[in-house]
Amino acid sequence: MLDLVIEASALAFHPYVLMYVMLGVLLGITLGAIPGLSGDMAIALLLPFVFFLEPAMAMGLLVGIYKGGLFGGSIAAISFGVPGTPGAAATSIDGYQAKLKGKPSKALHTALYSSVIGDTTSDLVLIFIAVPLAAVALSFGPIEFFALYAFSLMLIAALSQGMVAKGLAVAAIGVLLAMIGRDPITGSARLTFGMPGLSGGLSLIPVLIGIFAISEVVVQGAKLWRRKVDDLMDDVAEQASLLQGYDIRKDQLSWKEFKATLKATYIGAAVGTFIGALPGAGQSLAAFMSYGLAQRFSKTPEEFGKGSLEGIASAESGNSATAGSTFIPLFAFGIPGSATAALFGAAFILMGMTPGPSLLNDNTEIIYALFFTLIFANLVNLVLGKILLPYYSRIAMIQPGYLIPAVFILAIVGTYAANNSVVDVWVLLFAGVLGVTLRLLKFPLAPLVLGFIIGPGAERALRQSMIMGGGDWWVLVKSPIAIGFYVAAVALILLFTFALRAKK
Amino acid sequence: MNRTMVRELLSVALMLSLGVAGLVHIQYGNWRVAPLVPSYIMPQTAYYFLIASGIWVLAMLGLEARRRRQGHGADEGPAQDLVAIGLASGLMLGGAVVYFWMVLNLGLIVSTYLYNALLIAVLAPGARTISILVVPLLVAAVVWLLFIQMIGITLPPSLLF
Repeated sequence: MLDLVIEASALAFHPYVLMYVMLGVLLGITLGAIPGLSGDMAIALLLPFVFFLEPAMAMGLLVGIYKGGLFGGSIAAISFGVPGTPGAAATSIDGYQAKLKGKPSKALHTALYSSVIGDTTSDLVLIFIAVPLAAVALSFGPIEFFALYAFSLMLIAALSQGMVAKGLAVAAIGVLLAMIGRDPITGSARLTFGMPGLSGGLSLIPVLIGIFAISEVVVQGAKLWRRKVDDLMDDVAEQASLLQGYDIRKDQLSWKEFKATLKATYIGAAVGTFIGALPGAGQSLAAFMSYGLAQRFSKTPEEFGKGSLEGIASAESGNSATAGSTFIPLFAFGIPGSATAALFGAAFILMGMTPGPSLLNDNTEIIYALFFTLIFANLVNLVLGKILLPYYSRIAMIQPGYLIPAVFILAIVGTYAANNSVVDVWVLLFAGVLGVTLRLLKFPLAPLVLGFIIGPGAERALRQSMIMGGGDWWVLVKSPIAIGFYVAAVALILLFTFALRAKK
Repeated sequence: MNRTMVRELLSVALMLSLGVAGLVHIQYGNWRVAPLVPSYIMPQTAYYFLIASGIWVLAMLGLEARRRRQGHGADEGPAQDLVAIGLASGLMLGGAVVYFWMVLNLGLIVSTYLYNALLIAVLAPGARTISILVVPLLVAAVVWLLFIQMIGITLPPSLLF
């Protein structure tokens, strides 16, 4: 064990890996701070480059972006009342009020510290839970695995944006996209419609970049075109002017104030870690639930919504505490529980590693190095955030009109570069059209990606189960573990449906 | 009809048409039959889910319309907003097709410069001419450095570079 730790730490703390982590955190905070652009989009864009990096370096870069993006979202939320990411929506409630009251520095520092504490808690839970859970998963057969896939799809579909029917529909579309190509059992072409380029199936990179990055920049670009952002930018400039004459020396977060936020931070860390481990529940729900609970247990609940530092701490800690635990289903069962985990799952596949219980056994060094990187990235986030905090709020002022074209071009050329494949570019644009359509019609995107990634595994488990049961569908509910998964899915969906209703 | 209603009806149309078309394709298409586990078992399940979800959303819409008739629920903006964004998105994605065709025929760097300049001119409100000329140059330089020099992608021979 000691040898393993030494080898993994040598990998994780290689100077190049550390450099990539720092670069990732900087990129993540920068993109997260710009409303509309997210860390997920940056991770999707960088997937083609994973081919050209050593696994530890690639993981360092992606982890840095993810963690930086989580905190970056709170910068725009506090500075301008515009959440940079959906997870930062709860932070904006008190964060923006605190800023209007002349406490932007206190608010940003509270967000930074609570984000790092929540994130680290979640990472530690991942490190200590993923390995034993993966050992349990090794005893699963096809019936249990199919129940687990169905559990994840149902949960992510139901909880993504509180729209169960649309979530299920979009997950079904993801599964259908995964079915394109040759049937692994009969060898016949399916859903290729006579196009030979599709017989090998759709590649991960163009589908993920198209769904996440292309659709996002196209929708942002379309909004810009309609000059909607003019109003937003005017508003941002107006808000920035409010800070003229502001004295930062009077706005330092004291130790006493920090201590007063710790209870809320711990509540956020616990709630976020739990919610993050459930497929589909996501950062936004974690942040709002943490905020609600922290308010209930606060000595000054009346201050919530009026610039309370406890409010900021609970929301930001809850949001960031999903970061580590969201990987638990991916590492233990090979099921990405969120869009970010799906992107990391894709990165593992591109690097030749299969997410799931065998991931830890087959790539122990890399995974333990990743654990070290997760913790180290939090430190980088803390240090870089502390040093650069005064400059970050200006990042949100960068005109998207210059960024969007560059991102768009990088997505197209990057996808071509991954396999030198023209077909991949057409798939990318098709996925972009699909992503834009789904965004415009307010479908959640995470279930589609989950459906696409676990579709082949779910089909394999279903067909093996059917063979075992002689074609009888009842075989799927003959295992107690499988029944447990179905019951848990229904119970959790009901629980969170009521929680979401209470939130509204 | 308000925006939410139009959006949800379009969603239902998408779900039902995809589900029904898929089932028709399974019924009449050329699918390989295998004992116990035919090729279409998973797609068929997905199509059923699509149809069930479409009916579910339609039912929710009916309930919502009834609530509105009884005076509950807020009105939203007109449906034209959705059409305008859809149209603008279509034009951007159409531009991407032209861009990639240009990359294959004209050359990566020239196409990147031209397309980037065009997008900035269209998307950046009040962009100065110097920005429209210089920023694409920087982006083209980054693309050249990253993709040609560092990664070494191979493209078919083109007219320019």
